[in-house]
Amino acid sequence: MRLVETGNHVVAHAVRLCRVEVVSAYPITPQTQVVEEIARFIDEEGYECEYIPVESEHSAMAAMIAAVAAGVRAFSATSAHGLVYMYELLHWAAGSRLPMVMANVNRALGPGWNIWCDQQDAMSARDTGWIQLYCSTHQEILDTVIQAYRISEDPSVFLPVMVCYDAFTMSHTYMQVDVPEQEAVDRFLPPFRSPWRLDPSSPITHGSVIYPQDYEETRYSIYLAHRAAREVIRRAAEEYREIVGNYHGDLVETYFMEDAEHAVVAVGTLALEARVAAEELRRAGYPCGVVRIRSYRPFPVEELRSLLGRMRTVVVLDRAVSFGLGGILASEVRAVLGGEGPRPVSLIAGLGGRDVPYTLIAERTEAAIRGEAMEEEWPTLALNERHLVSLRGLEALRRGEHP
Amino acid sequence: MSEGKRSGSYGRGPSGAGRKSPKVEIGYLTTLSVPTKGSVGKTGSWRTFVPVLDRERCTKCLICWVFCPEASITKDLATDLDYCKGCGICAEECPRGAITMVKEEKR
Amino acid sequence: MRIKDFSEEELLLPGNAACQGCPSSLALRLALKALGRNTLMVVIASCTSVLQSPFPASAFDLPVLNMAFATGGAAGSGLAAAVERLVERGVYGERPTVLVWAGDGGTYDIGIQALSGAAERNADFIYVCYNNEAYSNTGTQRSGATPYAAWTTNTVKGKREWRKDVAQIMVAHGIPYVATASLAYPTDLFEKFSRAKEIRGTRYIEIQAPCPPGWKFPSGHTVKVARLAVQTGMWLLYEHRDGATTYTAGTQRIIQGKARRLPVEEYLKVQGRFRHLFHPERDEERIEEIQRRVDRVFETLEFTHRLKEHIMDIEMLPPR
Repeated sequence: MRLVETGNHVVAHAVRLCRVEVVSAYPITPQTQVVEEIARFIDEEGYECEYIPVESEHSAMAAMIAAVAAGVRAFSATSAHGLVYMYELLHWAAGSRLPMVMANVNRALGPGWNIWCDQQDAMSARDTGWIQLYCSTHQEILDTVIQAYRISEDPSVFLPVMVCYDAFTMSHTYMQVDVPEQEAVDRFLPPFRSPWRLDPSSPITHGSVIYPQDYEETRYSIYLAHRAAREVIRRAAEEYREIVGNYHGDLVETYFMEDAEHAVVAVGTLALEARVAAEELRRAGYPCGVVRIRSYRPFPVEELRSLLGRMRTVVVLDRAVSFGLGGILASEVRAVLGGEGPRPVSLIAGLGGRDVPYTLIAERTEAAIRGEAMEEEWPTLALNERHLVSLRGLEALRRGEHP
Repeated sequence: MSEGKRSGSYGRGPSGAGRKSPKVEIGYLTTLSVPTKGSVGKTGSWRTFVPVLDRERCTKCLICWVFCPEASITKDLATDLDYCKGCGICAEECPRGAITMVKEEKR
Repeated sequence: MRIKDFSEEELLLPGNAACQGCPSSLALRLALKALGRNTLMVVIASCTSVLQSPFPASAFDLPVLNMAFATGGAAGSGLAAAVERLVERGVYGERPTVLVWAGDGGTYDIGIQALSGAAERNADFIYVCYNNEAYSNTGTQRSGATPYAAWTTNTVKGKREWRKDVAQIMVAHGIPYVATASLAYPTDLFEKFSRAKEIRGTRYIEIQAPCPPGWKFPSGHTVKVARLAVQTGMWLLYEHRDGATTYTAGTQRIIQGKARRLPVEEYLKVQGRFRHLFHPERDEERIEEIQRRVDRVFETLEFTHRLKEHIMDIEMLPPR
């Protein structure tokens, strides 16, 4: 079935195809249409699913953990403040080793209130134990949600998976998608068999007090599961291509990297913008490619080493910041390369939904190629008179005058 | 990739062999605990005073049985001294005063 | 129901990490006798997280999901939703009861939002608040359930505020069943759980849980203190269903004039947490304040009772 749909509605289609039985979610812009559409499927189209309209995101995640603990496939969707409000339970979900999938629409965090695209929300949750996959097209969103259940429920993984996509540029735009046949999805994704479940006929207690002599091993096991997940993600992408027919890369997707000497690394729609920039640069005579990171956790360590180690220039685009250090992705790419290859140039750009045009990416990448870029740049920064009000206040404070 | 395969044996526990030895296999994966009598050992060792029942005065009303927080008195009014923590609720609540708490000699 | 008819099956196994004379152990033991083995349980951060003993052994002979502090209502909702699907699929022989077990910190304070949300959705579970009137697990700090004038580690001269009443807040949610219970009235407690088990939707039961180390009385006095709470009117026993409140057991006997209500002092003076009301000198003002409050509640209850008995048949309103 071919549809022209929003990124959010596409998620709802994927959830139904995966035969999810419990959905618990709380509304937040720009995620709302995901659950609205699921609720409509239940009310109008006979989709058999329990929808819990919880009173907060903290409760959304708690309800989802409990539902999966009882042994059913569950789903939630959130964004920005919702995701960070869940933070405690993101850890609880991964620590419980319960497979589940949640969509996160990448949006900026306040203050001030900003509903536009920014990856600070999910990247701040990178150390929770969740697998994080980032999409760049509507078709990829649909296919990734289905793959995410397969990855999450793999016996060598048993970890929750977050499927991330950009606010508005993906959540609210309409694109053409091919919705696979139910039969194909069923072949790709077998029914959920829980690793452990709450069952009166075989009582087990989950998550009680655990002493130092036992705790560390449970975390080591999550660490190992993330390592195993790399192969599982690759296999899921391959088998999905065989059974359903679409492919969007595995841990990474590359554009023009075969003969590239310069590479731009990015996540989500920024990577598509970078692809246009790379085409521009190639026309200008620079052999430039793009590496789109699809799996942010587990991080594509081997892929990045082998792809970037031989480059003459590496530029990393970040739509998130680790305050006190720098671009989050750039820091991680540098750590992975460990001094091999060129010193990556970090571009922090497009925070809070600011446009990052391909012309700007091309311009700064060309500067990097020519050795004219700084190590850290904020190329979309544009301080203007509106910011001066607070600057004047700061100046007055420095002078010891209380405004 | 080789590292993925190497870790497989740890992750696979509960779906197959895990049921047989949940403590090792499932427990390693996450914090799953199994029902155990004496989950912190023989709590009778916490006791300073031990309940002593005078069967002559006892009317078998089962007040002591129902109020024992430790489930250490049976319906036949036998006390399981392995687990009785010696709280003294049974002695306090016995309507006939048939239970006395006696200082226990250290074993 | 008589005590000798209670089930012999123990679902909270002996030899666990609870303190001597623990009210939560006793409450669990009695509640689980009424609910039986076909129960799925959520335990919220509380003393009960600890008393079930550490990994890899558990004192619960039931499936238990330990969850974060603020999640009682939400985790119960998720479990109930999953049970709904699994019942539909024929996974269980008989529909299991979903039981959420939380303390007063997890109910009155950090978890009230999730509980209120679940109750508004009428999620299908029994929620138990075992109310030991403080954060006992972290060493007895004040909670929204700590009574006026009680010592805690962060109210060393006695709490300045009056406690709130979550059972009445739950009544205001219009859920199908709300009850309060006392450890000193085991048949009343047992019957309330048995009735709750037969109802679908959100059911709330609050059990007063006198805590020996937290309230500072000898471990053998747990039940005695619980009884005095009812006898002095400091703890009310009732159930609320179909829009009407019925007072039960010791509270009912006082309202009906069949038992004499004892002065609150009888209850206060047996607990170390109220010692400053009597030593080094008697704090007449605060003791009287507490007594006045209880008197006012019972004046209303007794008046309504007489009205109901002798004048006309009206709905009894919960006391404020």
